Amino acid sequence: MTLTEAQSYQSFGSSPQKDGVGVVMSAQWTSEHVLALAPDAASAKNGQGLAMLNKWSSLGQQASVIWGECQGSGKTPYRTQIDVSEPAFRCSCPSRKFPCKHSLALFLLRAEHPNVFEAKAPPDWVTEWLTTRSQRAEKQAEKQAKPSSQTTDPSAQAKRTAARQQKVNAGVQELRLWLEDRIRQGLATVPQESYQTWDRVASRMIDAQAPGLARQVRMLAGIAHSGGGWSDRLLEQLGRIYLITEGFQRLERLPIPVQSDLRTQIGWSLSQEEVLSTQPAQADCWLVVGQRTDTDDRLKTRRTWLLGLSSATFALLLDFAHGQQPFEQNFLLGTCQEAEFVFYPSAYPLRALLKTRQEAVLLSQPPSGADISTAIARYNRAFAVCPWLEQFPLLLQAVLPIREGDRWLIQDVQGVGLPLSPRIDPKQGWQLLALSGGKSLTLFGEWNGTDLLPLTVWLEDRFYELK
Amino acid sequence: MSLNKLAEGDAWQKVVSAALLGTDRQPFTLPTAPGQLGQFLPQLAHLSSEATLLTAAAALALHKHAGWLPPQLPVPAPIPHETGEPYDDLPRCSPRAARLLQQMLQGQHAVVLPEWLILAAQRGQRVPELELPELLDLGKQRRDLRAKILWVLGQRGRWLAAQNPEWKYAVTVATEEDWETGHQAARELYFQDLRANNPDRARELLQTTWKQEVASDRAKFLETFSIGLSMADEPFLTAGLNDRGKEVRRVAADLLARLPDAPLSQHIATHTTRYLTLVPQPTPTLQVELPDTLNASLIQAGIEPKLAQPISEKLGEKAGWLFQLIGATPLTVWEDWGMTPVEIVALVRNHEWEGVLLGGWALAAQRQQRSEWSEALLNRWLTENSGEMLPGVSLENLFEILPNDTQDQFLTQMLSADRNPLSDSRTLWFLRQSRQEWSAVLAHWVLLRLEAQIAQTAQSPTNYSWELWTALKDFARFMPVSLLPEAIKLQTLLPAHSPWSQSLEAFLTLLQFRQDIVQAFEIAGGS
Repeated sequence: MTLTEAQSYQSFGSSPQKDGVGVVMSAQWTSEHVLALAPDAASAKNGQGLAMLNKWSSLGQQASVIWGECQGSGKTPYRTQIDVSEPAFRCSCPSRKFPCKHSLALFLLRAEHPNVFEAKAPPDWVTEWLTTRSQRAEKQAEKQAKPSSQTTDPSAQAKRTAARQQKVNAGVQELRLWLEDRIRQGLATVPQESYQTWDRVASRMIDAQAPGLARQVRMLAGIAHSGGGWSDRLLEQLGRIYLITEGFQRLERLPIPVQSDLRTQIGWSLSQEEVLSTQPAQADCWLVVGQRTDTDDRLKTRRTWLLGLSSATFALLLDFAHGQQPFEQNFLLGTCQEAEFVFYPSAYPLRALLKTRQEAVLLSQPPSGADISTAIARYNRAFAVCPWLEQFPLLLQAVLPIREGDRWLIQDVQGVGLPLSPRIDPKQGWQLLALSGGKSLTLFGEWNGTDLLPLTVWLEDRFYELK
Repeated sequence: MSLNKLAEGDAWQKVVSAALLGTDRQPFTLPTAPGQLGQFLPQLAHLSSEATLLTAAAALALHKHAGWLPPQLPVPAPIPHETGEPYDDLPRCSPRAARLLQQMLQGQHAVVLPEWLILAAQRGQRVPELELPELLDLGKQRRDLRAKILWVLGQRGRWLAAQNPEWKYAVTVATEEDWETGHQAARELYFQDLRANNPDRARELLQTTWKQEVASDRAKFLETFSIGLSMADEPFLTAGLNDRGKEVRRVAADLLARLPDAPLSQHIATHTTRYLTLVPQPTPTLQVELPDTLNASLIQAGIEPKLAQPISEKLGEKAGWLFQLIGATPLTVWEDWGMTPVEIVALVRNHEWEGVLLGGWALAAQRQQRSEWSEALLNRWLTENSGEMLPGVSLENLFEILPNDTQDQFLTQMLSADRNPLSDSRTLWFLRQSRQEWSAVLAHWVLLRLEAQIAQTAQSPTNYSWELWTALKDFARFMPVSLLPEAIKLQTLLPAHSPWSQSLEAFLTLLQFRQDIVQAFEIAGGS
């Protein structure tokens, strides 16, 4: 955390009272921000196709809420409304995608033709939505205010815990035996084995209520078939799993944060309610510095990285959604919000839950990062206390993208380099180079210990999401 | 790499080998390692062989991982806070314009991408950074767009292009070296460019390698002479009439026929005028004789003794010769009668040899790029709907010769004269061939005719033209965007389930998209 950050935020954060915020923000919403919200490429494309004035009527706005009617193929137009402060969407269309193409189109119009939205009293269908929203917000607040009131009979709870403990213990024992057995037989023939070998063990771990272990075992299958160097990677992963079981066996003797990390690895972490009710909240101005969504077999996982501007702490929010279901909350890249986060207990806390938040404002100045050596040293220290870290946030300052054949690297002013993830699209590498124009930029990405997956770039007064 | 690191790597390799082999075959012995790691490992010795191996593997992997240091790269480090030339000589286009470009690069409404590029160039704006790679990739495939892409790259785009050999086209121009040593495609490209900029130099360059080129390449290079053709090329082309390659001779003759002042054209003209005589009194009439023989000098000049099908089916041998002779004769020869092309064309109405004469003049007009003749002939055949037409006469080529404004006027005339012009496939073809936006007058006529067509279909649903249905979307490329409100009115005329609704929707969407582009450039550009 540096002074400049705090100052830049403060001059920015002195935005007027609630009613004014929508207006302040509108100037800053760009099409890129809006399109970043699209659930998939097709929605982005269709949304753009509908972002034409002739498709819309009754456009209006009040404070941070905008609305309009879009003529679809049917007789009655679709009614679309957005609260841009969060943003939150609603549309009368039957689409399961969220936000739907109409919402995206309306938002795009707002970004590109702010003047066509007449300030006026909202029609009934908008008022209705606003009322239900505020009611829901109240309920939520009530629920949060008395989280433990509904806790069930403590003795029944203790019984359930004991039962699970037994199951997990048995699972861990079984896994240890299996691992030792693999070592006894030798690993040489592993690549010839089918995926079922691993799946069978993984499902045993699911039965033992240790889904985290199941996930670790499934990763073995991929490694076994990953080509050159597989034996090193396989043994690393086997050692890692063994270490988890080793730690779990002597859980009580370990410090509480380490216990918590091990539980997370087992897949027996605290519930959201437990985290919210037992852990302290950390208030800060949180800037969304990176976001990515992965889809695995219809399960969408969104990782949102935030940086607390006063505490210089990173927080990772994980959101899950099935199929075309929307994520429950929206965090826009480059927005900054006064919010309280509650961290999952860990030797190196990163994952967090949102407790409360204020309206978001856009902050386009780059946050200040570190050079590569400093950032990696930070990672090394974090790794030493929490060796389970899979993705570590790196915010790097003054780095230059470099191409080496098919590979992309970044280099800082000290001449130190880091490889970029081989998973990035070649187009992204070129985009990065185009942005830099041979000059250094600020970059945020996820470091997995081997390579960096770039997510966001800041340059002068702009930021860019790399998709 | 330090000795410690080497020793550590060695320890790891020993563990991996043992794991591959299996402790059943050989019990595991702990490797030695330097430093604290070396002190730690022996503490595992009391465990079972398998447990020792797995724990040692975990410890070594963690140790290696936690101590990893990023490497110093062999390339020079960037200079912090560089000064010097700012990269961005041009302002970035507006975010809205950028988004529209993105849409087109993703394949939506890509046909109007050239218009975007032209507007950006006119405003002196550049493509935003993130769009550069895709645009440069597009130029790799779309040669026709390259010149326009170059306008909007800005200094940054050119800098980027220089980093990728595949985008070489954007930074380097072909040189004479490409001509001497490049592969055939590069040579052709260079030659074409040179013909456009310095036709004399191009000819001299070709002369230096002429004898080494194979016949098919000679013909290909010679065809390029149509770019920047002038009398300076005449001696070289005349020499080409004696080339060993038949195709080379044909191309040379064809090119010479485009040079009315060439001695060869004059030579042919002296022959042709023997067979065509104007009798001025009492009313001007044209007397036509057919040639009896074809002498060797004419054959050498490219007049074919036997014409190919299908035209040979329509014309006798001698009429075929006359047709070719007229086609190779400078049109100025006939203008010397003191008449305009329109008057000359009118002379042969209902003439015994009408088809031969009109066809010959059409050929000559194409070769000599004479738009007055093209217009006269097109009017004769299309708007007056009269005149015998030989097979193989290309109205499309005649139309292409017309200057843009004349094309526009010509189309306006066609649309205003005929009652149902949009059901005619040739009219549709001409409309889609336009090189520029239609004039407001022409565009109005198109809308009016569309309206009529839609009304007709409403009355009898089977009365609708599939060709117009497919052509309609293309019309949006030529319709002035200022007419969008009028175009939208057409939609209100549509009855429910009209067969036109989908096609009209596509037309309006594209037109709307073009208007969006225009508006996106009317907003002040970004920075």
